[in-house]
Amino acid sequence: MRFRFAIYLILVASFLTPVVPLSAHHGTGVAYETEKLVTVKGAVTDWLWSNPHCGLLFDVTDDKGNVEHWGAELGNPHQMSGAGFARDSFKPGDQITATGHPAKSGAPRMTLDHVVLANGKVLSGRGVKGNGEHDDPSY
Amino acid sequence: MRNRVVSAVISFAAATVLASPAFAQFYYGPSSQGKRTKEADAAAAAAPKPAYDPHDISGVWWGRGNSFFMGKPVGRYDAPTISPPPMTAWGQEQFKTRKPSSGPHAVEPALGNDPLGHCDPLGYPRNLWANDRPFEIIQSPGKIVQIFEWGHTSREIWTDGRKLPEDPDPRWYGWAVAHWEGDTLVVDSTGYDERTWLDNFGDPHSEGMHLQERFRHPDAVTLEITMTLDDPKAYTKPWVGGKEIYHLQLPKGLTVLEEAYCVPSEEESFNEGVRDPAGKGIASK
Repeated sequence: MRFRFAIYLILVASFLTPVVPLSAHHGTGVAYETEKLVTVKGAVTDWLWSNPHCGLLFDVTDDKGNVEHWGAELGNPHQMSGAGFARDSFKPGDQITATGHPAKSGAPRMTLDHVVLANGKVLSGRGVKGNGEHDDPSY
Repeated sequence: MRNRVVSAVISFAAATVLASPAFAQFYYGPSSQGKRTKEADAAAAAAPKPAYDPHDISGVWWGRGNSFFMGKPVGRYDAPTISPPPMTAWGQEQFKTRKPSSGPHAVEPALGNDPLGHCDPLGYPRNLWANDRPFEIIQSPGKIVQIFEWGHTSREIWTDGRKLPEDPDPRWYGWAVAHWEGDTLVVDSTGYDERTWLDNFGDPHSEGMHLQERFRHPDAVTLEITMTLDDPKAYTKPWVGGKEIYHLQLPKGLTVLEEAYCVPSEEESFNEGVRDPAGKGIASK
């Protein structure tokens, strides 16, 4: 019981920890609000398992049925697989809840912090540096 | 006393086992985010110190996050430890055309023109420190090869006594020859394609850029590189860099480079789906 409680505390703490940009790669600090987080729910339309950046595309539908096409930036497959992601992590139609740093431009784009799958599984790339580059947001 | 003896025997046995070909395996280096394993850390900790030969600089080397370019910290442009020399008028013209995504002139990658954004070759010397990734040195009679993790690409340095070609056709990784002066490997190179940037900030160079690098291997696990850049077409005087330190990744011979390709067709899809809409404020897909 104590063990479970400890795990719970660790999980809670991990989500309260100051956020490090997930994919602090080329131009992340320029293109994204690295101090802000947004969370959106949607359905996957495409999963780009590609070098040197993975991309997760998904549609978000509001109460009135309006669809907004979203996209999230991730690190490269080598690093993302080390964080638990895989080529078959997503398929079109999968329901997801994505949290990330929004684009400064206001476009529905983010650099992903973590994603919750329909079965509750959390895939987090927090701390994974895209391309092994500096995690300095100005980089 | 007995414990010490037991510890020594265990350490020796571990080192012997790890060093034997039968147990050879692949370990990603510590720069490999997400793929570095506890087994690799343990193997590195138990690895025997490599035999030291100041003229043997083979192995995987990493700047361990301390990558600098000629005195400019790679990640923080605003605090150079060495002031770069002023650019010539030609150099300034080149620099004005650059739209980097790092430093004081940074723009969103979607609006920039960094060769990196379309997987163009980074060239040398940019690939030495770009992305803070390691490189491997392989030595053979007459030639040293540097393999860079980014792009999994190589640079050849001839050590067979030949001279640099006169008026060479420019190459992304230039033309390089080297000789030993005592325990210092002196590498002279030129003939670099001027489409490459020197760094993430867009600093320019011409095809006539001459680099002189001095490699020193002061102990079994350290490599020092000092670089002087002489390019009268781009800079008003030579740019003398500081001493950059690289660390041997252990176990020597078992640490492998990540296959870090930038795949043009895949990056194009990513740019179309994510990066371009993010930077340009539109959702195209």
